[in-house]
Amino acid sequence: MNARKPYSITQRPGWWLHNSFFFWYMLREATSLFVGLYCVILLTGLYRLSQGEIAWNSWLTSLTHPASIAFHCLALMAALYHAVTWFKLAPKIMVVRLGDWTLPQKSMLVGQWLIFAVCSISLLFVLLWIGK
Amino acid sequence: MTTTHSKTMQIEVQRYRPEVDEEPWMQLYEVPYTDDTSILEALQFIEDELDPSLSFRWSCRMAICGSCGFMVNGVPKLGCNTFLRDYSSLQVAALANFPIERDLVSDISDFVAKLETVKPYLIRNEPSEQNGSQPIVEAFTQTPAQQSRYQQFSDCINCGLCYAACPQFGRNSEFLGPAALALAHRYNEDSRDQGSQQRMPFLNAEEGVWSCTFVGYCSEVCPKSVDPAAAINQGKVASTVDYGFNLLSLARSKEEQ
Repeated sequence: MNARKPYSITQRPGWWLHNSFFFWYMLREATSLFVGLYCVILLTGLYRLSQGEIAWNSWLTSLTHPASIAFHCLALMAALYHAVTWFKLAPKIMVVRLGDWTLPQKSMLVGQWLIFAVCSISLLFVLLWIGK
Repeated sequence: MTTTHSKTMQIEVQRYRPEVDEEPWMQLYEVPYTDDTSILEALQFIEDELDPSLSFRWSCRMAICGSCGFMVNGVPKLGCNTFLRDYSSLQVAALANFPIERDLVSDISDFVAKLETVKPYLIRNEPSEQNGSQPIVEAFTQTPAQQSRYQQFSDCINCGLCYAACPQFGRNSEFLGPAALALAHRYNEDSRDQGSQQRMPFLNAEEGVWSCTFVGYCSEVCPKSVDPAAAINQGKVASTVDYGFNLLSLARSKEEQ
C-alpha cells in the first residue's frame, strides 16, 4: 500500500495582496491598462482630426473635462512608475560587453535616466518653440 | 555544555500528517532562544524536546546544502540563516508551490527532474580525432573574464526558494522555473560548452523562458544572490536571437530548393 498522500495547494485568487513585492508587481503590470487607454484617446484624436475642424475641436474640448484631466494625471503617474521599474530591470536583461569589459548595471541605470531627461527636455523645447 | 536561554518565542509550525490529516494545520510551540538561534535550531529544539513527530529536512546548517527551505511568515527562507532575533512572531510552513509530503517536508522531485531536463553539464560537439569515442581528457582553459560571464549563475544550491517565490510556477507547475532556467543559462554562457543548441528547445518552449513575466521575487529571495530573474530574461534575448537565426536558415533552405 502506498502511504503517500502529498497535499497540493492551488494558487488563491488574491495571492498578490498578501505580499508587498507581488502587490507592486501587479501594479507595474496594471500600468499597461492606463498606457493602452491613453493610446486609444490619442488615436481617437487622430480619427476626429480626419473628420474635420468641428470634430477636432469637440475632441479638444472633451479633453478639458475634469474626468479627462484626472485620467491623464493617473496615466502620467502610471507611465512614470512603469518607466522607473523598466529602467531598473533593463540592465539585468541587456548585458553590454566590450571585449572583457562589462558595463556596470548602475552606469546603465544612470545612463537610461540621462537619455530620458535629454529626450524629455528636448521635446519640451520643441513643443514650446512650435507653440510660439 | 549548558546554555542559558533568557527569552522564549511562540512559533506556529505547519503540521501535515498524511495518515491522519486531510489538510495542513498550524501547531503552536514555545521555544527558548538567544541572539544566535536560527529557525532550524528552533525546529530541532521542538523535535528533540517537545514533539519528536515533527518532520523537516535539513543537513549542513550553513546555507550550502539548500535542504532547509521554509516559508517564514509567508516568505521563502533558509531555516539555517534566518534568526529568531529578527522576528517578533513566527509562522513556519512548508515551501509554497510544492506538494507537501509531511509537516515541513515538500515534495521537490518535480523540481529536481526539471534541473536535469536542461542538460546541466558541459557538452562538447565532437570527441577530438585522436580520442575517437574515448572520453575527453584534454583540459579546456578559460580566462577569468570568460568565467565571470556565468560565475554568479553557478552559485545555485538548488534550495527551491525561487520556485516557492514564483507566482508563475504557482499558477502553472509545467513552467521550468527560475533555478532550472538559470542553470541552463549558466551552461550556455560557459565558453567551454558547445551544447546551447541542445538546450534552446527547452528555453524556447512555452514552459521555458517565455512563461516568466519578470516578477523578480525569485532573485529577491535567493540566499546565494544568483539572480535567476536576470538569467531567465537574458535567456529571452538568446531565445529571440535563436528564433531569428532559425528563420534565416529556413529562408535560405527554401531559396536553395
